[in-house]
Amino acid sequence: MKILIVDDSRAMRLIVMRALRQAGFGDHTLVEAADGAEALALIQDSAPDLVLSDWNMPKMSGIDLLRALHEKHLMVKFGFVTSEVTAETKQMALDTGALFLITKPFTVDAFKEALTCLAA
Amino acid sequence: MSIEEADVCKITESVWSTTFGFDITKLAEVPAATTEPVLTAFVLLAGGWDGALMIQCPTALARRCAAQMFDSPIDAVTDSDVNDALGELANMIGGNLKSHLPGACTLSLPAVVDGHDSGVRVPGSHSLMRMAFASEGEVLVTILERNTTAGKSAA
Repeated sequence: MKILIVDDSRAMRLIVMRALRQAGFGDHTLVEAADGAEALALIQDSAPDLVLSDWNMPKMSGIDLLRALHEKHLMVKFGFVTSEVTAETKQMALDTGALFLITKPFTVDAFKEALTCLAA
Repeated sequence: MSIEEADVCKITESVWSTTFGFDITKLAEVPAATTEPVLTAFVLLAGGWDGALMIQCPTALARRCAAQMFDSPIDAVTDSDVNDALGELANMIGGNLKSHLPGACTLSLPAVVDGHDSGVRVPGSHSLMRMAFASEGEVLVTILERNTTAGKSAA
């Protein structure tokens, strides 16, 4: 499985990748993008199986990335990894087609739970 | 709904311990400012509640935190890495704070400035709360400012 990690913080991208490895997903291909616009280009080029995206980012936010994917009929499993934790945010994410929302700061178990359900 | 000091304290402690794997301890009082180099990371909140969340962190502590986040030796951590790490810390605390605020708010991207909090002022805002935490012998200060004049034009 190819997993695209989208976050404008390089530190957070590394932490997410470390958590994925610790959660048992280290043998998957992990690729990175620093904002929604870069992610959109990567998704069009290389069709990842799963996108893990931050919400607030420059150039293109995570929710705008998800909307753009729908507009372009690019079907890819999508989850948020974000500090946006309000009920409204969660509802908007799910209504727009996100499969899950992992709250920052997160534990390794949060990734195990979210991604194991996807693989099942 | 109003934000309580206990909420900000709990969020700060939780974000810190989950991200860095070691605890911070809230101090009874905010110590007087020192001449030690300090970085201030902040995010702005706007909407149903307007203001700013700031994290004031000694540069040496911020560098250790960045090394932890990047899983890198302290000597290998760049200034850009330190700003990234501290900005993300402010982003996580500010983002978690949103669910405790009345009304829908948007959260800005984080920014980091070099210097004491005297370098960061949100026009029209006042200090709502200010609390200090001890970590590895250094003091981190969380500041919440509220702007009650946002959206009101001058007469």
